[in-house]
Amino acid sequence: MNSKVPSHKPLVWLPFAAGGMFAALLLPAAILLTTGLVLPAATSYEAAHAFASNWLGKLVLLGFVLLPVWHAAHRLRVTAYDFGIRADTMVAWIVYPGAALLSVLAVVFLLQI
Amino acid sequence: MARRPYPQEVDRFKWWIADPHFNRPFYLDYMARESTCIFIALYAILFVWGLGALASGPEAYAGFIGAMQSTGGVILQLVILAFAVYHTVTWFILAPQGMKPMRMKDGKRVPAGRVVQALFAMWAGATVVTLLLVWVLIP
Repeated sequence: MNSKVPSHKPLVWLPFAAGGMFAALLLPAAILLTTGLVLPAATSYEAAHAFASNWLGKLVLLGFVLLPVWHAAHRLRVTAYDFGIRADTMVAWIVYPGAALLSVLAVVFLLQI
Repeated sequence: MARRPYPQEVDRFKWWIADPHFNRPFYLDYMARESTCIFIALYAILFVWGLGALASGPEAYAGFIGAMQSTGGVILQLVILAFAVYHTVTWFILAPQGMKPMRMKDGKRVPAGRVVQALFAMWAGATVVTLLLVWVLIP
């Protein structure tokens, strides 16, 4: 392999590691909130809308989509191989555009709020 | 005499549950850890659905929250939560192997167990701070 050609690996690994750490630290708390089992008032329309109305809230909510989604996309690609799906190029063409679609949708929805 | 290599047959779909030559508990644990991403992706889809509902207005949002907080929705999220927590635990336990070794002032390496403990403490802190912030921010 030509070592002068930059590897694409850091591009995939950075979101994988960042997303994995973000999900590890914050996803359990978020899931507890959306079930309504903890602080049910937090998921009322008024509370959610007020939170998503300012740019800092939008940024936080965007983080809850972007970081876990790119982490999951990369891990899903690798795990597909372990589950016996060996068509890596095809899998990559499903998971990464899927993650991109969810990211774009999140941005569009947040800008509409 | 010609060498006759023995290529061991491995079922590429069931190797992690069915192959008697493999260390099954180890591979089962590995697959459980890797499978957490399916549930994290699923939760992200639910989350984006919620953002869409929030953008559409109170009625659409009521439909979303109604589904999320119905019995089925809560059960689904508790399953997702179980895998999310499994992701957290395995992620932290593996973290010292995936990062640059941390060193103390005297150059001694910080023991891996200490790094894992610090991460678990961070998790507890992040969860408490998140819930407190949300509680404060509720109008």
